[in-house]
Amino acid sequence: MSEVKEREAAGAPPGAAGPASGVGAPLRRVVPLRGLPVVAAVLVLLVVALVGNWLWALDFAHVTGGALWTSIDLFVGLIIGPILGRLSVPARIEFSKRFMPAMLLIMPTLVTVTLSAGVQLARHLGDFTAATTHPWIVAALVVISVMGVIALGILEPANLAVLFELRKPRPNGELIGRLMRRFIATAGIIGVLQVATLVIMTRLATL
Amino acid sequence: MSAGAAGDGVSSGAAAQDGHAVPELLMSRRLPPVGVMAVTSLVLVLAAGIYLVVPVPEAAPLAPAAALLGVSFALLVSAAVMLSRVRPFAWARFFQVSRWTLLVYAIIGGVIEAVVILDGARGPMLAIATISLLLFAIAVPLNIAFTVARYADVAQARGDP
Repeated sequence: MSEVKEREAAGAPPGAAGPASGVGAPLRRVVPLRGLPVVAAVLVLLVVALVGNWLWALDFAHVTGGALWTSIDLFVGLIIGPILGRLSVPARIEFSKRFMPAMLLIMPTLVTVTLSAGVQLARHLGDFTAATTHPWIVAALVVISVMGVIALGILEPANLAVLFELRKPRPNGELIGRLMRRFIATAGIIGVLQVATLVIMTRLATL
Repeated sequence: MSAGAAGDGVSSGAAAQDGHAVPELLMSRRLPPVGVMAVTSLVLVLAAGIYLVVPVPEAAPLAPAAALLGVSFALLVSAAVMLSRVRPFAWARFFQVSRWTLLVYAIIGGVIEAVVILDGARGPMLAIATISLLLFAIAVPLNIAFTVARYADVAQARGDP
């Protein structure tokens, strides 16, 4: 019996393609477990810096976290996004299987580190209360809030929905395409907002 | 290559015409606006935070911030009630995702709460911050779990509580 007939006999709908063809095997894990110790280590270092009011570590965490966050958002939204949009659906799915699990760990970690360290740093430097810096801090909060709503409200749910779809033996290409378009569009909007953050942060640093 | 082309291992609208209508059904289902309500709830929490920071170093009246958080809470409760009435729904997948995302956002909220306490917040200001973080740690997982579960297979929807 052919592979297709075997699947139809097992209850698969007629015309369905199997996991072995085109898009490869289904995604095994949504969360890449190998990355969890790294995330835990970063968060422990962050807590140590926060509790100890370790100014250099807070500055390091805020600057490196923010640089990575901004760079990844800009790269994904403005470079990867348009390239991905021109790929075939199976190619997009193969890319997503490797890309999305990594993003699931990297982005929330970067956001948590950058924002927690940044707020504490601003408090130490008196940026919340100084007349010259306070308006820029408020502007940064507004921009970051908009980015947070887009990232947590649209981007991350779409990311996870794609990952769960990729775990199916026959992922729905139309659904993945729709969710990936949402992912790429919101990443692009966040990328543009990140440019605004860069303007605000460099202005704050030179006041 | 178009979605659903034979042999690409991807189901699509073409498959629906072959009697395999589940993906189309999942994509076009009319569900209560749980995601929109959760995101609006998050927006209100952030608005309350910005409202409190704007007049610094002066202290802002807490009542408007408390009112924003009250509306945010009401939206979350309404979303949960509306969601609980949805049948069929992939409840098993919903609870699986919400359990883990709740854990993640509880950790994130805990880190932020620690910073707030270390910064000397006490009394009503600490209460406002704590309630804000609680709403944040519930709204985000609710939205994520709802979004994932709404696209889960109908077979999974049989995991009704």
